[in-house]
Amino acid sequence: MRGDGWGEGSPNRAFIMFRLLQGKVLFFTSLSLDYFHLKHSACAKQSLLLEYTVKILKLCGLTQVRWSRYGPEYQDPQIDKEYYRKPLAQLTEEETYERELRKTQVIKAAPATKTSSVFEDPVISKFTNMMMKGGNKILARSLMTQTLEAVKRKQFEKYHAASAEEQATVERNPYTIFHQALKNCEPVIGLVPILKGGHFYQVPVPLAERRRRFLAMKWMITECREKKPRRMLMPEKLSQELLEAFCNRGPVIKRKHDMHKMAEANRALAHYRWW
Amino acid sequence: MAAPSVSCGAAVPYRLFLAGRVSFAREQGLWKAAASGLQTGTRCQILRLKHSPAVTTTKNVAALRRESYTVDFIKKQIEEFNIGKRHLANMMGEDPETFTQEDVDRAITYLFPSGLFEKRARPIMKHPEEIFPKQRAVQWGEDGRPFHFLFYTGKQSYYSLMHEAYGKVLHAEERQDQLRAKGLFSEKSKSKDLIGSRWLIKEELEEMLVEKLSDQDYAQFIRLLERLSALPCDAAEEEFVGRFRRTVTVQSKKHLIEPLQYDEQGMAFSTGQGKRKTANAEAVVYGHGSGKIEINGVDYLLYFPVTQDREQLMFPFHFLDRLGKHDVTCTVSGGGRSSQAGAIRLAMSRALCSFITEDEVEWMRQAGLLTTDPRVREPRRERIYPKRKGGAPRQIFWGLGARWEVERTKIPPQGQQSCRAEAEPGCGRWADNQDEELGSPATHRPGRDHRCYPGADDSSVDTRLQIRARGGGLTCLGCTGRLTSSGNRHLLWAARSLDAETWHVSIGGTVHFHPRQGAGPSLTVTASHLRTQQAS
Repeated sequence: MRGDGWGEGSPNRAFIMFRLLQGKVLFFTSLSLDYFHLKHSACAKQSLLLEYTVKILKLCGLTQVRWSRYGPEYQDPQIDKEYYRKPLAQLTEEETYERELRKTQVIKAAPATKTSSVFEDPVISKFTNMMMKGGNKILARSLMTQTLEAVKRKQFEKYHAASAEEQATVERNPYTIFHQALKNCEPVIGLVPILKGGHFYQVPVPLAERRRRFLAMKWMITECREKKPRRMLMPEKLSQELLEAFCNRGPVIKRKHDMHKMAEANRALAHYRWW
Repeated sequence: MAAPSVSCGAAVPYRLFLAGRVSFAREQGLWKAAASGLQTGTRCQILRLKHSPAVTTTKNVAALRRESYTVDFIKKQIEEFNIGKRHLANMMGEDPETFTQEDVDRAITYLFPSGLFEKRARPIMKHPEEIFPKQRAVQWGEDGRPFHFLFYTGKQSYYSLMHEAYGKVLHAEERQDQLRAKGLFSEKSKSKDLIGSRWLIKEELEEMLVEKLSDQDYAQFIRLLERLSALPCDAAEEEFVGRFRRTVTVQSKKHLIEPLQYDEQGMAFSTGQGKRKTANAEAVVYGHGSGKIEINGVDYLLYFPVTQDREQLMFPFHFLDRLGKHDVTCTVSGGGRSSQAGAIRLAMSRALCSFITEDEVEWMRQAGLLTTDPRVREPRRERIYPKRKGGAPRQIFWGLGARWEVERTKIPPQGQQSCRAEAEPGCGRWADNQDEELGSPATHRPGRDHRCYPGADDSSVDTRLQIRARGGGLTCLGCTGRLTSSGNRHLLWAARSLDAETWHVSIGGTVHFHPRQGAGPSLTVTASHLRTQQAS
């Protein structure tokens, strides 16, 4: 209907992503909602577009995975303040070209979780989202802040209890501890089940950067949720695990090492990989 | 009729050739017979214009029966259009010489007001070139031989264009070699306006050539043009390449920045409006202040206890390094806490545009602060599988799928009571919730037979507006016959479109929509009308 975001500047197109059923290839296509004007009003376009898309794509063997209210021409916003404050004289040719290009592009709206604040950390935001259950961001974020506070407290206790020489080695910034701990938990190589001759074999495969970060965070969260004593709260357990991972010990690090060992053991199957 | 112009003489466009042939035939006296309309004579049939065989993937019967338009017919239509435009200008009391297409559109909407939802079904008066689809003239002569030498490729315009472009590439490379041989060639890069323009998209090229192209054809053509533009070109080649480029608008120019306003104390202020999902916000940003933000009369710290929302409010100011320099007063309604915060952020950013430079406005736009977020809640879909296997699941859409239609039926008037906002379970409000508390006493209690009839004061008007939900497969009552709280959303949309302020549901499953005070008639929806056909 009129008031629901079809205002000026809103894209009148749906942008749909597909993937093949077997593989992980993503295709992008855009279908204009104008084609569906004949029978249905503006508010039905959205849902009908999906209907039509599903029918068309079933023929191609593609399943519709995600779609977006933004058309493909919409670019992601650049929120970093320093990017804009840089004086023009210091820009390279590519940067000037990019700047000029962005002036002609339409930009998406900044999401509600992103700000230009100095306190914002993308890794912390991602971890918070992964900890979130049922959309309860308030709880997830409070748990995160409590975790960081707990880490800081523990480190300060250790600092004050240590001698003068050791005090220099104690890291008290919870953010550095968090980043370092997750980096220590990232596996280098992973295993992928590949179907060959009717059997699934676990084949060692190099992992992409984002997959590694995801696995580190996922392992950390699952470890804390499952192996927690009953009355212990999440921030306490999580701070404990983070500090252990920071020192390269603990169950999450062990899981990473197990993964590496299995990959090493299945080294012979490496040639099953075709990409 | 944008036919590729004759530049090297390599390809002769079929249209000009045909025109030549037509005039030649006219002199021979053969054209007269065909020009008078559809002829049945065998010789004249060849001269009759036919549309090109379109490759259709779906059977569009209407398209297959497309009429063919002769050149004279189109010319006549153009003359009639021009004369009609002048008449229209006289009717509207404007100068016929300076009557533009926008004036024509405005005049038509004034003279023929239409309430049709479908914009393309409304009356229009446009140049015949835009109305009658471009068709290809007949491409072979009386003897059946085609005019164009590339006719048998199937895509003669495309291949002739490629041929022409490749000829230019060879020419430019030859010139480059000659310059190199003479030692006059310099490797300086050309400063082209690469950003201010873009290549034609495939649809535009198809329209230009009046031919269907494949993606590979289009990509090939663009690659050839890029190769040509990379070489040193002379004026003719630049002009050739320029024909296939379109200017790209600079996005920031689309924003209208309001000038600053001043209140009685001389304080500069600016207003802005913002929207996010169903939340609407209006913000007034004052030029000087201490960073105080007041929302609906309440301090922002109390209104938004969650940190994330307050960070969103802070975002535009922090981005522009103006934290603590402006005071803001805003009103917001609708939506939840996050969407209200987003709406206020957008309103504040828009209001701030009046205080800052154009560059900073562009930075804000690139940071995503000035775009309305189009994301809305997705309609819920249910799939009902048929009892026997092998059928597609029937889909039922809730909420956004419905299209509401209003019908008038004549019913003898019964007792009428004035309607006011009701406070009952199942009562929906989306106006400012802080004005009236829910639970205030009503002037009358809705009963089973309670109906609100419009204009019942005036006994001459005795119609009852009934609402039907059509299309989209909306089922709001489901199987239980009662409106559930999750089904209220479509009522929200319906009531919005009917400009009603509140609705309430009575026991019999009837929904009554109440208008704003003195706005218009109130409306009734009965249960049977709400149950609709389901989408197949």
